[in-house]
Amino acid sequence: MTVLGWLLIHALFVVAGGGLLASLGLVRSTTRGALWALGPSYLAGVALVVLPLIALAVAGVTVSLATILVVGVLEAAGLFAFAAMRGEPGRATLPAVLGDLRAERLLVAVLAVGLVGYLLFAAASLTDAPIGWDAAHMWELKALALYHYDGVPDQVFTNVSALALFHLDYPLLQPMFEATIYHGLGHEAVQYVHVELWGLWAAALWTAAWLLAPGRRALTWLPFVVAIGVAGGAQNAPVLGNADVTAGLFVGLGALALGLWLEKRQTPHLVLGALFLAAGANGKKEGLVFAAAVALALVAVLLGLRAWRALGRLAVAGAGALVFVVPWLIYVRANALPSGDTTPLSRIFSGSFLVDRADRLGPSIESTLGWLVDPLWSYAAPALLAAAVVCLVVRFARPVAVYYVTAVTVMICALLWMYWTGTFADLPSWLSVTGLRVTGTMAITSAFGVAQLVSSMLAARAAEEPPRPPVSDWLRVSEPAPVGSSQASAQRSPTS
Amino acid sequence: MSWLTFLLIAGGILAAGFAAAVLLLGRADRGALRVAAGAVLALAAVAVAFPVAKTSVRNINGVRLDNRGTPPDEAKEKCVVDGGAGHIVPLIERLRADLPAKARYQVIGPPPIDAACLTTNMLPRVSVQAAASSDWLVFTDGVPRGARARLVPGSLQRVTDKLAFGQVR
Repeated sequence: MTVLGWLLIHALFVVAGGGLLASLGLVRSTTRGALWALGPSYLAGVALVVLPLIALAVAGVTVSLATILVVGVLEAAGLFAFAAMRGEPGRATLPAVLGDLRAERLLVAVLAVGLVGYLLFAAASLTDAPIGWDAAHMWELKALALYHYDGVPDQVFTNVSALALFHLDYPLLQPMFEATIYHGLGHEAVQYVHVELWGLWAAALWTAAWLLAPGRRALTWLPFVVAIGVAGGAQNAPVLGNADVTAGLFVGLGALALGLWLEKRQTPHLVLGALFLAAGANGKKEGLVFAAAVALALVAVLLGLRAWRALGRLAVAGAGALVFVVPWLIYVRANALPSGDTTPLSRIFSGSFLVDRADRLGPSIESTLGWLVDPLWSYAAPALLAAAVVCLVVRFARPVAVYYVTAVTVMICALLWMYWTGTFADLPSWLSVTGLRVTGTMAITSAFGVAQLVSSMLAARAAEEPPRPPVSDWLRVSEPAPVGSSQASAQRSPTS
Repeated sequence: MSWLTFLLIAGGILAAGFAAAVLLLGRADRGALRVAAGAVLALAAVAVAFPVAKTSVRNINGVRLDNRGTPPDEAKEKCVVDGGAGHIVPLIERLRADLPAKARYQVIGPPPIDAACLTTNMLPRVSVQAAASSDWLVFTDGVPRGARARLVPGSLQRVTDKLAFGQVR
């Protein structure tokens, strides 16, 4: 029964997310196309099922296995019905480009197989992991309460007198996801759930690859996905059962989808971006702030471009995302759940509060930037800066470059603000405990951003260069694609 | 000086891109710079991925070896032990075994561990503050005389000299 339950709940996520991708015209109607969309379908399905469950739970609705099934099946049925009415797949389904050189294909295979092997080995290593301190006090606590009480029992969620110290205001994406898994299994599984969290990370890398692949040579984006995929920093949260990577992967994917929308202006990317950002905002309080940073950067770039119609569409998508973000915020407000580590604005801007704490900025900057240049995050942030500078200097894809750099910069500034004004008195301890994990969202967003920029930079080459000399026979793996074929046209960059 | 390291890494990539454009493509115009910098970034990512992966594999293998065979209850109890209250683990295990699901208990005596860790270990049994709404009493510093009278006769179970629990009448 446990295996059947596992299959059922994961199939539900895949079908719900697959319905969304199909309705957006993002799934090629072939077996390979459907298999290729499996990871993104799963991740979109997690967001699509879990976010409404949070809204239902805080509204007082019982969230049992039956509720989960009803929500998932209704969403899947509605979305697939819409997809059937829509008919043709959209333009976002250009095939991936593996490259026409043997050496190139070999390197792509080594990177892909290496990444998959690493992800599987890490998953197998997490099966007996214990619950970390923060997870035991926040994430697992809420997950178990959600599971055992089919909702948000007052003894845990509004028990301010006993649990005020333990961030009762932290949002519920990860606890609800874990509770959903437990419902599927039919019992709690506090160790196995680490594997599920790692599975979200694996699905996020798959989704990033799936978003980046259409029309781009694999070797222009895959190295960045692999570099962040194997980064040691991404292990931290799933090992401990924390929610930082869960929030970070959704914010990063939201940023990537919106970055692709900024480049190509295809509505499916906008919808996915809004969904992933809404999930990220429900991942952690920092996730909410970082998701807002991405949205702010996008609005700023569109304002700079005077792209009024795009701003209007973004506003509609943003309103849709807010529908999934607001319920938990209302619940926090309605139950007066305290924020454990933030200072009220009235106090921050009264007297000399900020000046008195100015000495906290230096160590905070040192710590934050220090983690971003640590191999644990694969140097993704400085790589993004370098890629963006090149784009600005050579006048290529400047809006996208400015968007990513602004988003990550605003995230850094927001984090520094938290350290500057936060209630935690012992700053060195706070920095050492939180530094690695809270910089994850910035690193993930940077890695996905640099992947998009570099793949665009290198994709533009084919359209501009004179025909290359014939490739030696020993390097060639297939006949060159005729001009006008999908592969040839895929090499043209839509970025200008 | 992490900001300097940050800028040096970014600057190094830019310099390598410029050098690649000049030395390999023979020109430093916009197109060459874009292609060369893109190629340098992609190659750098490949070069970074391998040593990073090696370290990550070593770290996650350490996690595997450190926790191999840890039973689920012990995984939950880590916060109890890390919080310096390892001596109450036998009590928690007895409570989980003997209290029915969704039982409500009141802790009598100094809290042995913070409420969040205790709740995580005890769910679906929940702690209550009011004596009137509790089904069970959990004693952490011996059993006060007055408390015995509130228990179902014969239900008091001692785990150690100071740790005990019993069912409320």
